Amino acid sequence: MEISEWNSQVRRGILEFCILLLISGNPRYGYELVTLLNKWEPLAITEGTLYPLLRRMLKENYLESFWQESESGPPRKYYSLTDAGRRLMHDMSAEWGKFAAAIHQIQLHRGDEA
Amino acid sequence: MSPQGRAYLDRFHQLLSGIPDEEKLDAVREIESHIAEGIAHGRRESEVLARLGDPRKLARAYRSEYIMGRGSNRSFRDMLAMAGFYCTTGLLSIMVIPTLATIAYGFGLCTVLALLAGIIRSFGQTWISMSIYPGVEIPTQWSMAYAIVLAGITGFIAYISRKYLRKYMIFLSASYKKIMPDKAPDSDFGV
Repeated sequence: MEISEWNSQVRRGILEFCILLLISGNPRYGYELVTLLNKWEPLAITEGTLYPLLRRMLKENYLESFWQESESGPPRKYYSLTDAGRRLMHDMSAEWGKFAAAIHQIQLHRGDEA
Repeated sequence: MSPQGRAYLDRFHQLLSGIPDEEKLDAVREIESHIAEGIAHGRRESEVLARLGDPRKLARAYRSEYIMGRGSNRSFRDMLAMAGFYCTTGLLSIMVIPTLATIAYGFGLCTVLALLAGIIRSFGQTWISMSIYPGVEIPTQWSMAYAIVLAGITGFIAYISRKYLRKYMIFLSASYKKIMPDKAPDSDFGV
């Protein structure tokens, strides 16, 4: 398996989690999200992935959206968490902690008793 | 926005077929806002458009997310697709699967029996008759050779049927996934 393929598989799995985290503090719009995610090289995604994904998360009721005028430029579509989205984010945080701990253990001991 | 940008949005709007008008407009408006935002941040429009990629690909990603997002409310079109699947591939399977399975396991059993018969007959149990034509018996010392040849033929047939049964099953689940995109979440949104 190519490393880039592996990378995109992992990213696909955690992208929703990242989006939930990024908008949990305050509402954000699409352009902002792409720019933010691109700050971390392994999380870099294209607009063509982000916008359809946001749409699905809206449909699934994890996000809600509203349009707002901006002082500089066009109106923006902001996204924020619904209660279900917040719950999902907390669940994912807990799961993520378990995953990270498990991988860490395996890296350290290779399955042998510590 | 330049004519180039407008053309991109028009094309994108056209390609979003199958999505309710209201959502279509919202999606186009959001992409429009994205382009304008990019320009406001000092980027060239052509650069922003290039990053958005082929409008066809973008629209397809929207459509597939839309289908997945619908969850359990299947549309009439999905129902028809399912009905079509069961009437064609499903009906074919009623014939193909039992036939191949019977051949595979039936001939497999024959193979084992032929070998057993060969062994037993070699030890002089003449109540087992082995003949090529009616009346032409195989000499006892040739029992094993004959049994092996026979087992080879039946075994080969069993092997081939089993192989094709497997292939057919794989084909079946692949075409099922094609009909039900929501069961195969790894469709195509390229990250």
